[in-house]
Amino acid sequence: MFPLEHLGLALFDGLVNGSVMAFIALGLTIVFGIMNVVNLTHGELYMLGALTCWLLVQSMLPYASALIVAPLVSGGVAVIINMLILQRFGHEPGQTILATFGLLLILQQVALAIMGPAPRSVQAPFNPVIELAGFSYSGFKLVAGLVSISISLLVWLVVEGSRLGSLLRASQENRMMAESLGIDTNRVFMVGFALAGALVGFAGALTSPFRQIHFLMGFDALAMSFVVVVLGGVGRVGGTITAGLALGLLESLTALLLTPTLARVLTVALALLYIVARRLGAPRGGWRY
Amino acid sequence: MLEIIGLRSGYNGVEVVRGVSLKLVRGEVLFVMGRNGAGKTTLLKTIVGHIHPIEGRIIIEGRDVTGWAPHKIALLLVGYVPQDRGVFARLTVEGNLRIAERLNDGIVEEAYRLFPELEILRERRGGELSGGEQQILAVARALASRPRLLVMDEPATGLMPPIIRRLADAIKKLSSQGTSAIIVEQNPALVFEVADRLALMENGKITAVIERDRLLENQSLLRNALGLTYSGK
Ligand SMILES: Nc1ncnc2c1ncn2[C@@H]1O[C@H](COP(=O)(O)OP(=O)(O)O)[C@@H](O)[C@H]1O
Ligand SMILES: [Mg+2]
Repeated sequence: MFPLEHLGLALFDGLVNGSVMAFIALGLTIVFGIMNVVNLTHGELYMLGALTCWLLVQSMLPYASALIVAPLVSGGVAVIINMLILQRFGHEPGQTILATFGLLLILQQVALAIMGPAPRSVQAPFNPVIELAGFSYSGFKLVAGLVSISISLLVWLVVEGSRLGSLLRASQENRMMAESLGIDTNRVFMVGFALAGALVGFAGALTSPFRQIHFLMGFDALAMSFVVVVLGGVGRVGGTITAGLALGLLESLTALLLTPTLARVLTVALALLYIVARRLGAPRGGWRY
Repeated sequence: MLEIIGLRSGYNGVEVVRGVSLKLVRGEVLFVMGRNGAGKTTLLKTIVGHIHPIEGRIIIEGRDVTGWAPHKIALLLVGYVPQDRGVFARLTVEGNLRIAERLNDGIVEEAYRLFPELEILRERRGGELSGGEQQILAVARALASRPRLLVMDEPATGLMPPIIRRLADAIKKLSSQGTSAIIVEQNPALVFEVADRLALMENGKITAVIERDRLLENQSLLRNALGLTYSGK
């Protein structure tokens, strides 16, 4: 058996990782979950946030500047993708998947051209070691986790409680009817893409000091985000947060017994199993989300 | 005020509305009647901008809106009840009304005033309502948006007679305040109560227009075309 202090660390680290995972998935909840657009560039927008952070720090700019610039870059790219490409064919699913897959590859190549194939890293602006009950923890990562969960809860409140949430849902459900109630649905979708892109770009910059920055890092973020979004119930922001925390905990607990890679495989497998079991057990007509 | 000139429209190049011209003056209520598949729904969808016409022009409130985005047409204060009701399943009753606040700030209160039964259902989701309740919501949303032009596709479907009477009263009230209306409906209680004119649509064309005071003498025409009888006042 592992000593108890490892369990405490695993639980704590699991919650922090889970918060970050939920935060990264948040944009996908908005675009895929609520707007029903399968945007495969989500992970690349995350990578762009990290890349922007690395470029800024390379140019001797303070890390904090990345927290402002990265959301602008990722949000801007998301808006451009939507405006120039996805909007043209009305976000039709087949064409959206094809187009965003192509864009995913292009963005990866752009990143490869800029930063090369080697993993890069960014120094944390501050990183006191925090002593907790029986273990010590990275002060920066703790702050990143707190920021992640705070923004996620805020976005949850906004999407559930504000006019924006209703506009996004109505525009997705019946675009023509929404239009006939005076809603410019293209603008609503634009705001959705901008918000989703900005959030994940911010996440990219936020996590740079404790993650490797690499031109292929987007793929893992995309896959995990889909797992989190589907696990939490498509379209439910609160569910995404819960699912992120659950997956984070599960992964760090299994990592006590297994290698990190095996832990990731097992976690995703369990999540998928749960999703399938839930579907099989669903009442006729599906769950009401 | 609505004017339609030589309108042709349809789906994927297949013409369903095949040359329609109509003119509604301020406050006029026109009913469009015709058998299934005649193209009535397609005509209304073209008016509100859901379908771009193949040919012809649509003028609302003096503005040529041909080819406009539907939300711009709606913002000219066009209230639309689609045949499938257009109730958002994931929004509550109140959310379904509030979403149209750009048309009228007071839409929620106005809708509850017209149909108090909606206020009791305010927290229910659109998808949880019965067909009749959804229809009331759809109709209330259009009426309460204080439209200058009402476009309604079979608004009486699934409504109980007392509610149809309130719908008729609300349309008459709006009409007396200058709102024009184009309504696809065959329900006699509504037609004979509020129609200023009837247009008969067959095969994508308007084949007859009947003034209100000539309904009686045109009974056989209506009966033959629709199986309707004028029993009214
Ligand atoms: N979305 C659509 N795509 C293709 N054809 C359609 C569509 N909707 C209606 N039609 C066709 O257009 C014709 C007229 O339909 P519609 O306007 O709904 O008639 P009505 O409302 O008078 O019953 C019908 O032949 C119908 O099959
Ligand atoms: Mg019809």
